[in-house]
Amino acid sequence: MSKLQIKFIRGEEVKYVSHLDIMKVFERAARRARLPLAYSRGYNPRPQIVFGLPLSVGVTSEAELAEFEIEGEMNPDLFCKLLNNQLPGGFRIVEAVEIESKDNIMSRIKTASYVVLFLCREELEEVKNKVRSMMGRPEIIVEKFSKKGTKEVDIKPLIHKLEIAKYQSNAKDCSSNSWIREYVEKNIEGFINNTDFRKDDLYLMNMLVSAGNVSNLNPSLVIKALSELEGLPVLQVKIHRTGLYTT
Amino acid sequence: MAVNLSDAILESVEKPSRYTGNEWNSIEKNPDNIDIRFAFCFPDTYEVGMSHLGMRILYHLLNERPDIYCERVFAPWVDMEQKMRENNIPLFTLETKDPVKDFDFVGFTLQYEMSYTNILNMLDLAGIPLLSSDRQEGQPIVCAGGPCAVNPEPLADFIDFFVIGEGEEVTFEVLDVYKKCKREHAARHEFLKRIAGLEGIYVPSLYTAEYNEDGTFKKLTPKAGGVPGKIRKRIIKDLEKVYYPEKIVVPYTGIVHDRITLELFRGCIRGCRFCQAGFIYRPVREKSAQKLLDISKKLEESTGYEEISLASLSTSDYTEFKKLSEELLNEMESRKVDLSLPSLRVDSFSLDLMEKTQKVRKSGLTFAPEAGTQRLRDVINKGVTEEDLLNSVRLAFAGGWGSVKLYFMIGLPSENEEDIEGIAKLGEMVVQEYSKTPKDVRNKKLNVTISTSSFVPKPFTPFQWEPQDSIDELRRKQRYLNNRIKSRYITYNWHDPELSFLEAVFARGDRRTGQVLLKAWEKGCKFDSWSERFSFDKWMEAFSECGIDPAFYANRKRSDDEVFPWDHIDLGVARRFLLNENKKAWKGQTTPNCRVNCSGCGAAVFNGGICFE
Repeated sequence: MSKLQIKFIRGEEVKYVSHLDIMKVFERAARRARLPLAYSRGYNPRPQIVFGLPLSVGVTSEAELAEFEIEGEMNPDLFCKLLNNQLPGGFRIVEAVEIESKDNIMSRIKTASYVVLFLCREELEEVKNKVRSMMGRPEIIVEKFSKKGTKEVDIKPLIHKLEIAKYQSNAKDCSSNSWIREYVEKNIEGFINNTDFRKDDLYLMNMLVSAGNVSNLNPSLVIKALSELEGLPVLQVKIHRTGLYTT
Repeated sequence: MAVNLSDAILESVEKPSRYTGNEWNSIEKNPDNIDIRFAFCFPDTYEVGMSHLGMRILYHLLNERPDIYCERVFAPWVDMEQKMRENNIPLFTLETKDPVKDFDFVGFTLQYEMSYTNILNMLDLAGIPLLSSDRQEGQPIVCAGGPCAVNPEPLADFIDFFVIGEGEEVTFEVLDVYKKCKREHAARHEFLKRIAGLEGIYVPSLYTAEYNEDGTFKKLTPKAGGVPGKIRKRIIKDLEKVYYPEKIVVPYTGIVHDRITLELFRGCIRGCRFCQAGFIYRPVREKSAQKLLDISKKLEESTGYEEISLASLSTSDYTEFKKLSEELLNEMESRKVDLSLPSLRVDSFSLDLMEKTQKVRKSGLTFAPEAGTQRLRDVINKGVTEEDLLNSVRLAFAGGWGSVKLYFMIGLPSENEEDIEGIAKLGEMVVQEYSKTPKDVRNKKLNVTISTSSFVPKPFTPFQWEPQDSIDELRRKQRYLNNRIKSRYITYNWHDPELSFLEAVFARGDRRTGQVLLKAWEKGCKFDSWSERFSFDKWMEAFSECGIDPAFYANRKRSDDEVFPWDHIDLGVARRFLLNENKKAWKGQTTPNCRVNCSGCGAAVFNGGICFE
């Protein structure tokens, strides 16, 4: 028995597939690939696949993590190749490694990085001021909706890093994420069509936030805080996950 | 050009992956290299439509041809429809997201009457004129097929042509004529006229319907020479050789039947007199167990599905059932695939099989006695006796099953209070069988569920002459039964009769009822089979505004020689056979099943299947 950890992307084509359904996608792909998955014991054997962190519907990612338990040993590159052949377009494994850890990946993840694309008509300096003002608060309280109801949470301790920049199609800094660029080129005209915004109003926010089963922050709450607490009128366009980290 | 489906729209609707396609095994083709684009439409949600076997078959079959691109379309749920209308997004296909209005063909499958308003709604969303007489050159040809097409008349004004019977062969014949017409720049009506000559094709606009003074149907006359007076259904003679996909689309989002489905046979030997499926798919034709095993292996490999189910009308009647189930179980166990069984005739073999497939959880067993007394079961030709049922539940209880579901129909012809009381009594007897089962073997919990649906008389059944009970009468019978059920172990479920009443109208409707569909749709009726969307009041308003009395269609007893609006459709099974069955029903005489004795129903005209075994 061994454990393989994979890093995979979830592209635009499949960003509306829910977390639960993604697990099915990988399970069925692994079955088609005839990979030697290890199954749980008992009356209803399940393949032992664990996913790092659920991704909200509509969010793309270039760095999802999952772990597969397999019978015996298998070359990670071969595993990666066979599974990739059976994955629907939009999902692709970019890396596979054998790992030793006893804890599963879900419990090891501590932080996640995202880039959020949004529209705002204010000047860059003004936006930066508002972000600074927000981060200067002793606490950042926002309302969080869940199935159990609404509650107020302080998201300040969950934000570890926040950078803001105007979107530039040819920049080399934090505004250069290729996923975002491709998205903007393909979709932004359609998106701003029914709004008062122009392409020049696009901003990017890069952030590193808490993630995992202990404390987790959905990046859209940061946007929400910015607009509600600082009175900055923004329209969120897209969220993209750039990394999951165990530290 | 693909429609502009923005993220803002998709993020605002329930289950957006219903609309995005890109599933495993879905077909990608370059539309530029295609001669014929076919939009296959299922008039219900993605989850319902994707579960439908016929669509799976035809989608992959049509796409086998390099010159045809068949794409899928489902009815957008009301939230998505609203967004589409607000943003001027026309109905589009899942594959290319191209507007359906730019396709050569738009084909609907007719699985239940209460999906008809969704057809109108989808045409409207597509920007295609609802009435076939309003469609112009360059607009899609709208066709329909499936079980409800055996009485196509309520939809006659909206559909350019119907496919009667099984579609695997005739669809290609139609498309080939279309290609030829396209080359010759033949007009739309010319194409329709040409395909009207193909067996199994009905072009309603080429016929005139006439009515008698009393409102009954008089006759349907072809408007021109060369248009056939009778349309005989198509069947696939040899099911062993017919195409069956080796790949099927694996959806992302859970659908109603999210598994591999094996079609064991078509038709049914039984001849239960209320059951339309038992007559319209005749004759019975089987696939061999070996063929089915081959198919199941290939499908398992191409889909990665973890479950496989057997589909047919009365699966226990499959002649190689034992061989198939045992080998399938064997083969699939090593692949970690579960076998899911339909409701089977209960005997020691099937119980053993269920034990093996269900492993730990003994979920409910289902029985369908359909009627509460032997007298009425003889009337409907349901070949099940009280003793059969009790033997079965005795075996089941001894095997540790504790949950039993019993299905009945109320409102069957000749039904009286004794028959209804009989339902309660049967339930009681099942409870008693449980009490008699030794405590150490039986399940700790007993749960008997009695469900009743309301009888809907259907065309091409021996009961096509019979009236449906009024809604009040059906309600009265439900109350009566509810009062007769005393045991605390029995739960009683019933269906609202309003929906059954409308089904009865459109199942036996004529062309005039099409106006009501249109009116009801204008009033906002759609997704009528979804109880939260169903508005009976709007339907009643639609009837009254059209000056059409629904009771005339649903609740009227027809005379033996009344001409029916569907008499031009020839399914092989002869009208005189059905009438004879009707007479036998009223005398309480049963008819043996096809395997015991041929009753000469007429299906032998197809020169195939069980009639020649």
